[in-house]
Amino acid sequence: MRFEKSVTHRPPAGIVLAAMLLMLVAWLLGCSSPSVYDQYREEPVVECLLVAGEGVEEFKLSRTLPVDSPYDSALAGITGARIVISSDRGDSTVLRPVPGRPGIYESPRYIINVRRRYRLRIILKDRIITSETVCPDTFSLMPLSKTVITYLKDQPVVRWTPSRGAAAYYISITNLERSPQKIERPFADQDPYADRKSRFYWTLGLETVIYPWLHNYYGYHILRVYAIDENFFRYLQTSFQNVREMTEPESSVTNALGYFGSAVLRKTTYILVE
Amino acid sequence: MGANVFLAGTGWGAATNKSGYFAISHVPPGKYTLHVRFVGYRSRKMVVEILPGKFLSLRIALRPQPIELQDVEVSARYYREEEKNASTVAMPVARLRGLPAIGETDLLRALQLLPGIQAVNELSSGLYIRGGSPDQNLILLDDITVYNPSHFFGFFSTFNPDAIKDIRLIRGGFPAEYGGRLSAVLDITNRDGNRERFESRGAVSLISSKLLIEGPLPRGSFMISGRRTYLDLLLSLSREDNLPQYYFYDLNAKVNLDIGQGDRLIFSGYLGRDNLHFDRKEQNVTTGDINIGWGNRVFSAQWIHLFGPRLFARFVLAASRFQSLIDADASGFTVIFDNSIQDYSAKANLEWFASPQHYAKFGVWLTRYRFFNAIRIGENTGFENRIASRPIYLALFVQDEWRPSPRWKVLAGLRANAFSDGPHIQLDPRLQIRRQLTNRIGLLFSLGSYTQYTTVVVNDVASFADLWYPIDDTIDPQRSQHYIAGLDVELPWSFSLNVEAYYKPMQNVVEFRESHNPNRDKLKDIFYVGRGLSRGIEFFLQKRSGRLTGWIGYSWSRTTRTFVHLNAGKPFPAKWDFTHDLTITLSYRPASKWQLGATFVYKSGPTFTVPAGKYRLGPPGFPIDYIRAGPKNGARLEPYHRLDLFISRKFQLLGIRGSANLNIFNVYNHRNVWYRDYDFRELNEPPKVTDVRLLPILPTLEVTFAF
Repeated sequence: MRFEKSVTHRPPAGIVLAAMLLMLVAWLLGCSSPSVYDQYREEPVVECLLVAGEGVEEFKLSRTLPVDSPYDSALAGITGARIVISSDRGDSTVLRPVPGRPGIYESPRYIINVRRRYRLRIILKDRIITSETVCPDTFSLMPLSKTVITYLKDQPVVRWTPSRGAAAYYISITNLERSPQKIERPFADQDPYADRKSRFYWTLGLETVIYPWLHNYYGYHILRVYAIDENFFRYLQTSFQNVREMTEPESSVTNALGYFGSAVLRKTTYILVE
Repeated sequence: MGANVFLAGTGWGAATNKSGYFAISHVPPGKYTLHVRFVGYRSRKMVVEILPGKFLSLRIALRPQPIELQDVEVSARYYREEEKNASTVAMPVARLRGLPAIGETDLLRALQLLPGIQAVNELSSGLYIRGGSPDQNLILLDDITVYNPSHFFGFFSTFNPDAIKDIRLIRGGFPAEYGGRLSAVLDITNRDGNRERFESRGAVSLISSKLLIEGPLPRGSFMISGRRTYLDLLLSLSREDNLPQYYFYDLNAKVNLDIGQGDRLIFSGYLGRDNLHFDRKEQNVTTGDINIGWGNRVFSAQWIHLFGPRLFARFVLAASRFQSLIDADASGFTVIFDNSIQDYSAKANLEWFASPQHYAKFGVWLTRYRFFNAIRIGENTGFENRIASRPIYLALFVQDEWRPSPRWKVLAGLRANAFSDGPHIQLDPRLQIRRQLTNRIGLLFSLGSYTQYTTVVVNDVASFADLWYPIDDTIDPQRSQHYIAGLDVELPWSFSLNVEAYYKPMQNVVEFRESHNPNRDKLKDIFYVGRGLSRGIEFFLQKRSGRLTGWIGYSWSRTTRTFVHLNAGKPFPAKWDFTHDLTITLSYRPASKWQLGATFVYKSGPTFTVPAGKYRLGPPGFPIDYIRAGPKNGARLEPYHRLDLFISRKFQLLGIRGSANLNIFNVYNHRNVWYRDYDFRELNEPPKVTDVRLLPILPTLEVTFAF
């Protein structure tokens, strides 16, 4: 038989021995374990959304904290920073710290204008943080066709006129009730924000959305539509953190995390959800 | 495909092409003995006479050989010849059957054991080839592109080994006849069917049963093969509520028809589907249900025509679709995800056996795609998102295999690609040079340029949710260049050694942004666009014949990605970067009825990102807690290692031949780490850290039969 002629009857012992040695080496090499946390390095975090027609109400400057320590807002707030916001028209303001709220700064009399470029400069002991944003143009929000709506049944359309320079539109819906009744939603146990009174949503390039069902509660709500700049849009777009992949929001400030954005908030509408 | 045809005592010979055709030109007149050899078939020899100025046309049929005789010297020689092409692995199906498996032999899992090919984890049959992701591989089944070659959330591949005739994997440097992908080509040809008699074979395992029937037709042959799992039937026996019902099936069919001298029609089809149904019950009342169905449908019609003795043509019309549909209903609240990619292709491939020195191929490939992705949440709720795109891909190629002397082979080609969304036009030159230094030692150099116009968002734990996207006018197509240098050595005792080093830069590679995209977006809003680099060296020592066969494969490789917005713009290791990868497979036949197999895998641990801090940030009035990441993929989990065993005993019962196969996966029960989970739900407390582990020891039994 050809099969019998063609096979080679070599003792396999040498190969098996070599294979076993390789397995042993591999096994020994396998004895190591990585560290649980990376070395902590303190980094500043900027949170600021300038809103046209309003002053700089709440500028947050905080720091990252070690992974294995509790999060303490007072400990996280950075004090003693010099924060300057200036515009392309030459005007500027130095933000002052809000007493009793570490890391919060304000300049309520410095009014933000549409279509202006604003620059941020923060001087800390070890670094200078900079960023800039261009505030989008004005726009109008159309009245809702219905303001009393039944949960998951009605679908009013939210419409607005386009805003020049807006990278996207941000919609937030906030419940105004003191003790609102909870909406029983499927998979709510999987939602880390199922107890929040506010929810948010964004839409790209469209000036019309069918009313987004983002509520956790029944009752009166306030709906806000913002025309937002590129910096805040990039933050929103990457704001969901996949912890397994350890993804993070995109930063629009140099030498720090966070965003320095601007927006136009044109109108608010009150809605009763039944 | 790939049968050796040669005239004894001369240097004249050829290998048959994909459709079984060959041409030996410029043979002086005279009488010769023609030998034909092909793995799995009995060799034939016949006396032929070449007359002056005449062409001799022959139709040669080979008889199948019993499977236990297949892995003999002749097949070893053929496959060694195939593997002298750059980065090519030709895998006999018989060899797959001697490898340990989970439940049953799996093609993609077997290929994961080759050097240069990584599995991101043991739950996935995806192929990460030389730093490329699975979507960068062109997977062809009878010339049809298969987009999602997996069942059971990626655990099994769609290819039923019983239906396969030939497997050709090109890990890099592939010639101009292939294109549209950056990394590799897996070209699978299904069995044509037995032209002489009816045959059937099948298998029953703990997971599935399968059956193949093949036989002659009046002017051709057919093959039909099916497989179905029965986990759903087993689970239905349980009294436990809230158990999911799951099964998958697939069906392969092929018909060959001779319609005249030199004309043949081939119809080939594949249908595969996974179905998962889950009823959530509370106190015997259904409170919700989820139906998930996904699968591929592919069909091709081929017309093979000889324009003359030296000009062979194959015209293909093909359609391929992958669709996944998720329909969930919880207390009247519905969510529907509908996702599909469709491909309608027409191809014309011509092969010109110009002279003993020149073998040219040229052709055209036209594809009309349809990408569709829709999400609907609730009825009349306003949550509806649709993306539909219908781009066209056109490619023209020409290549020539030139043998200026017996020791030199040059394969040069050019592929021109065009894509309507953009539009984009690219030229991809390819070159491969082989120099045979001695009868036993050969050197090889290969370089080429590659372009890809599609990409995919991969879901690691649910392969059915993979979303394919065509590129658009906001980003350029993905490009890569392959630089390969190789050495192959024929060693004594039927050993062979192949060493290849490669360097593969990639441009415009994409990484999914972790973002919600409630509207139709441009691709620049869905993906980060950056660069990639993969380089490595692979050692592949094989023993193909004898009682003991197998291989030792080792690869050292580094694969990095660089994106402006990730990891502070610094390069970081890809998730599938495994620096060291060692695989040993052995198959031993101590007696004619027994076969033993073992596979040992050791590789560097998977990369992961270690947390370095925590911070709070959010839109106004909506604080969100974040974890500050350390260097992206900057740490590694513990190395991966596993040993699998296979024991097979042939039997004959009531005239039925068969075998009983015992597979033991992960023999020493080493629970490898899949990923490290950090639970940060309580931000005011340190996170809970858990290493999520993979499969334990898993014995499975399979019985095969044939009659």
